Amino acid sequence: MMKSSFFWRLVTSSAIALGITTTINPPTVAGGNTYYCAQLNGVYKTFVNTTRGRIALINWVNSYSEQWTAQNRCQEVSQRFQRFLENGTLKYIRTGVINNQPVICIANQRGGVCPSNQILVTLPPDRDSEEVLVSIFDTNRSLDTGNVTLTDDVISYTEGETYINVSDFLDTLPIEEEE
Amino acid sequence: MQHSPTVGQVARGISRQAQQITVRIDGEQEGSGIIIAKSGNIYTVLTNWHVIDESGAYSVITVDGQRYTVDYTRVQQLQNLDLALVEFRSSASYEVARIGNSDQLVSGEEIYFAGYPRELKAEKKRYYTFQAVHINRILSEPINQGYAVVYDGEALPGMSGGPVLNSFGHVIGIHGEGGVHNRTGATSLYAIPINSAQSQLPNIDVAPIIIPVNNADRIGRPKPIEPDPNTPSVCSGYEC
Repeated sequence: MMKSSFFWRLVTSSAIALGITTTINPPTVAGGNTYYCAQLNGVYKTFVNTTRGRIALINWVNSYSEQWTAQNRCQEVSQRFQRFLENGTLKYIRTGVINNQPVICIANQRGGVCPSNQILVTLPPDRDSEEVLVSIFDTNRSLDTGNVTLTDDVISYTEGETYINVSDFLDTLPIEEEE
Repeated sequence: MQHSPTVGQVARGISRQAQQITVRIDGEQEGSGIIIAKSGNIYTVLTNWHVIDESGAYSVITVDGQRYTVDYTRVQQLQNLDLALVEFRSSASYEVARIGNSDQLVSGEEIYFAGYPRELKAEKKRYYTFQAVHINRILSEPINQGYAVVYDGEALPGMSGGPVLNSFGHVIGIHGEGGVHNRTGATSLYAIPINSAQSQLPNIDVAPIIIPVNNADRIGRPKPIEPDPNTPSVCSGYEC
């Protein structure tokens, strides 16, 4: 908790100082949220513009191969987010298995298998998909919201798979301060 | 020598009673509920408004595992409280909650709450859960649409809308919120006292007011006997 809030303070102060240096795919969608990749202070990030303000959803740091550099993965996954948002399937981010490989995919309801046309990332067979999900989205960072209702939880489980409720999760994340 | 049940026996009995009237709510959001009335083959379930506030498909699952579809157009939000009434139809026979008096609650009192937490990773199913807790404080100014009874216990999402019961097994509140102190980690759980909702509830079964026997009065301090003017007093005004 302490570590991540310190991290977020660092990010916001550098945003004030440097601003967004590169914007790839400037998005223009009227109404609703917008997902896009941009570079902030040398780090590629998937950002979401919400009615509350701009939220950094994922930091892309590692390059796995020449094809899948941090920049390429940031662009590709941000585009997928935007596509799933527009076609109405972006309700949950969940874990699953396709062709014996762990995956993270998008779903509009809980239960059943990961739809193969809604994959966000495919993981090596030995990776724990829940661990990856929790670390990619850094689900422990959140605003102190005081009392919470005992219904919703950002992370929940159905049939042993892990689900993040996207809109509930975005509600818990801090916004980047305006420059 | 009178044998009174131990605390554990009391809790076991209340848990069994509570399980009969507690339902699981699945759908757009997940929570719990209390069967509070029956009229013909229509049962009325009391739950939190925040469990059912997103319109969509919901079902109520009763103690026998039967799943009933909720007609969302008939969901009724109660005024000024985080509460709602949900109906389901069934020809089966289910128990209906007895409603207690939440004005009698005091801090320190043992109370109980029940519900169906959301699935925990290792368990792969939602299970009936029951906790025996103590009232920490009662708020004279309710917060967030009616929450006023505060107690200890574990905050598990999915138990919202479940019953809070007194030691007679009567429903005295609706469980629905939790707060964790950001420095000490202390948990406070919150319920809406049932009396604040009573005027908005249909055909409920209200238990007669039970006045607990005060042992201090009985043992420590003998009760004065009103002298009967027709018979000579045999002792000095006290039971002997």
